[in-house]
Amino acid sequence: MENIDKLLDKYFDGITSDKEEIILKEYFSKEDISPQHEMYKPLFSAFEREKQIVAPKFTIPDERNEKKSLPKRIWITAASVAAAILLIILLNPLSKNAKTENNYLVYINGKEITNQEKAQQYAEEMFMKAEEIIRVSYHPFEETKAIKAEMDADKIFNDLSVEINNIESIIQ
Amino acid sequence: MDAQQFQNNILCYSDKLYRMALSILRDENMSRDAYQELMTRLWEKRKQLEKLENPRAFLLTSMRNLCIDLLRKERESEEVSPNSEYIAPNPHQLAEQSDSVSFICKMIDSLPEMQRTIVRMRDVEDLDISEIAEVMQITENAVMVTLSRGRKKLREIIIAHQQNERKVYGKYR
Repeated sequence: MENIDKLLDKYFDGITSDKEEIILKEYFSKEDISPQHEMYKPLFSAFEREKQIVAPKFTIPDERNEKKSLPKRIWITAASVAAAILLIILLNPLSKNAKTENNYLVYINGKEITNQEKAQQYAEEMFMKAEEIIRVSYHPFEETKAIKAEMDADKIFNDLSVEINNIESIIQ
Repeated sequence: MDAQQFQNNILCYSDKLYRMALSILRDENMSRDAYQELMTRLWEKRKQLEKLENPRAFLLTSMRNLCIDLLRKERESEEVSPNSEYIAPNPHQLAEQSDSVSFICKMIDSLPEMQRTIVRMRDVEDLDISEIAEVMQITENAVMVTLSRGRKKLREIIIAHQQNERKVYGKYR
């Protein structure tokens, strides 16, 4: 009993060895313990009870059905390219509300731009930035190639420029 | 790492991880969500898990960090402290807490987060001091000091609880 008292003191001081803690746990797992130790029995029983708690089931996703989640940066790049595409569409001087002399008006960051050259220059800068993000962020990864193939900013820009020119020529 | 390896090397620690979430968050629903979230993240980054030297310590640290983050967010919205102090139960509460083991579990939950996590890692999960230090990212000495504080607090609670019980039963004799 004295030994258990000493071990308990050591235990509450946090200095019991692994072996000593096993002795204590075995002692308190018994039914017939000394009355003076009875009050500590729920403590050791509580630890044993908590050991029985099991985790909810986690179902491993099926690898075959797994869609490759795109890294955050890819979304940023996609957003940049989308913004640039939107800008190109805005560059299309089709607005019926255009008020300027040469009938050319676009909005960039809420500002009216009537100079077509400046607006196109801005759009090109946007594309260059988007392409730079792709180049810097994904160069070390194989994904870079796939993204570049799918989202070639030059190609998108050229296609849109051709489309805008076609629309302009139809209107004129 | 394929599904089988994930099952063998990661999911084998599920119970320990879930119990850690329960200990820190003290809420079953939040703990379930935290556990599912951690497992989902780990599955997504399974390729990187192959290089781990001590996966158990890494997983427990990840679980703790995730839970602490959740608590911080909750505290910002509700201002609930995870380190709330123990308030001795009154005789009425004592009568309600007839199951002394459940009472002790609640009292462990009332310890500050560091103390209850370390006490449970040592006494429930049977981790050695060096591994607890690795999980908690503190020194072994700091682990022993915190462990001692936690256990001493529990001893005080047990003694106070017994004295209160004697008072309650004394009145009705």
